[in-house]
Amino acid sequence: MSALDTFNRAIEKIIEYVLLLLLGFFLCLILYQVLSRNLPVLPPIYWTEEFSRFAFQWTVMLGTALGVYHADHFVLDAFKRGSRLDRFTRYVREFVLVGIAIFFIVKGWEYAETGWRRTSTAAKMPMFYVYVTFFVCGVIMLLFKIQRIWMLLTQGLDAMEEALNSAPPEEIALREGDLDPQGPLRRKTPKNTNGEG
Amino acid sequence: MLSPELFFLLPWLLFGLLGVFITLGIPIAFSLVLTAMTIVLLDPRVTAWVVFQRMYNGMDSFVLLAVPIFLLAGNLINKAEVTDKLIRFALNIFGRFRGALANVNVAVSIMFAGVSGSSTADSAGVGAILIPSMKREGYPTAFAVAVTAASSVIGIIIPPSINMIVWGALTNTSIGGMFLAGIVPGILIGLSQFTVNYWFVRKFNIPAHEPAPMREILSSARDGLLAAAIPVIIIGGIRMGWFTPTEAAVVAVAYALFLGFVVYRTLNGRKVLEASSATVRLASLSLFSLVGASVFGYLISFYQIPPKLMGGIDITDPIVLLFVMAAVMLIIGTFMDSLPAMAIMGPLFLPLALSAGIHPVHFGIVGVMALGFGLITPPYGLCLMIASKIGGIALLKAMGPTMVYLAGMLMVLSAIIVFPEIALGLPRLIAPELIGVR
Repeated sequence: MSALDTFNRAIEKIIEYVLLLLLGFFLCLILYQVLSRNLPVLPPIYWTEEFSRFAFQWTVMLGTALGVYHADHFVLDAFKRGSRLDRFTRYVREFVLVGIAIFFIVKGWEYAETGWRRTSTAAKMPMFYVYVTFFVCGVIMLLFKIQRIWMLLTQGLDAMEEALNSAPPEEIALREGDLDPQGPLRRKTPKNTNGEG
Repeated sequence: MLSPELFFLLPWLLFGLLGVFITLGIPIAFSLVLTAMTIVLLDPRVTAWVVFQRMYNGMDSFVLLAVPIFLLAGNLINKAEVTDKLIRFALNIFGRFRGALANVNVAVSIMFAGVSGSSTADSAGVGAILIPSMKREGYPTAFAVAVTAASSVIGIIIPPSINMIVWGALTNTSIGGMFLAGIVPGILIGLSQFTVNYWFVRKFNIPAHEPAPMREILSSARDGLLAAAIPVIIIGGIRMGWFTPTEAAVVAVAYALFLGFVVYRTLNGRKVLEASSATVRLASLSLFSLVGASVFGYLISFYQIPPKLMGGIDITDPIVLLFVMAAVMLIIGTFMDSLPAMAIMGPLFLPLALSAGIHPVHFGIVGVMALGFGLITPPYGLCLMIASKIGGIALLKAMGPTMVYLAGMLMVLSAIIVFPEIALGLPRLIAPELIGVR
């Protein structure tokens, strides 16, 4: 199973880079779109809006698949942490998502194939290349899910979540803040006018 | 497959299944998709192809690209330590009054709101600096936590606002119009919080600072105003027709990079990559819940639920109706993230609101605010969670003072419901074409 672990970590790294590339790609396209409209020297490109949308759609679906690996998707915790019902729901969510992954793979592929009959408005590209995101998302989700469920069965729920889940959202937000805890206040000392108004 | 005579059950099943799936702890975005999958099995009129097509349509919108891009601008601004500059600026203004740090907290949130459009970034960024300093100056921790959380809600009311972009994309409401309409309500919320501060500061007897020298005030003002220029560029650019909201977001990113690399010299390549990576991962999660909600929204209209709801709810008075809808959204907002909540409630309530003669922009502001207040109410109040984590106290300890702030904010919301002009006045004055003729 450690082979799958290594493989999945590699996929995760690759997706991270692809996501950055896609983000950079649509940022540049939109920036060019604004500049070329307002500066007459730049020739307008007719497919910027379309391709930035497609890049965005790939970003969303790849990011969604990645979110499954570390259980980042937003969940309503209806029951008290550690209670029987809570543990039950934590098992349920692992298995139900497999069903959704398979739906994305099987029905998502059928959907993608209908994309050969359609082309995008501006660039005339077959829509298959965009519609196939659901299928790809399903495949990646399934890979991540197999590892999660394998670890769940061999090591138990807590060990698996400990190993794979991200920190809670409030802790992630704090880490992203990355701030000097008293930067602008360091020089100042409050004058004590306690009780004098 | 259900037999046709049982089809009348399907609208009930739609909401019943969603409720069951969410309670079972299935991620909300996937609960929406799973509900649609189940309907495919039950109703031969809904095919898997339609489900995928609707999900695709849910993300096939150029406007939605503004969401990750504005998030990126906010993260870059945090990395570039712009928050520090804003705090220094606000402290120089408010330092001479009692309870300076509490007021700085609110003032910075107002300025930060104009820079980032995300409330959680505000709680984390401002809280990390101000909560420890407030504790040192003798503020009760619960008060410091409460004012940080409550003030960060302003982030989604003052433009740019990610929540307004999503609301606009979902309901086809003018985003430029909502941006303008959010300014006065956002400032009013800030004023209500200054009032609460005044009361708390007297109660806890908090001292004042020494006034800052003029030179220091001027240099901090330069830094602070450079950052605070972002909303002016965004709103101005949209108003002048130079760019769309999505393009405005890219301009905001470019400006953030300019500030970080050229003016403050606080950014480097590594920080930009970190901010970008965190942004795409986080944004995809929110956006996928919109993808799920889009197919759910399709099923809501397929089963003609809004007209049925209209038949069931016999409220013709727009103010009463708006109060009822705001109450429902407040409750939903307490236990659900606001973006998916919005994706379910917006399309469901909009037909009702329009038929009662409520202006869509007015409705949008009320909806964004009502759902946004959920950021500081348990069980799922993300801003309150972040702030109490920084303060190092249990969330429930900070509940008391938070509720005092919430009471003030609810008063502002009620005022906006009763007097639509509070929201609509400014866009009518500056850019009537953005909010239509009504």
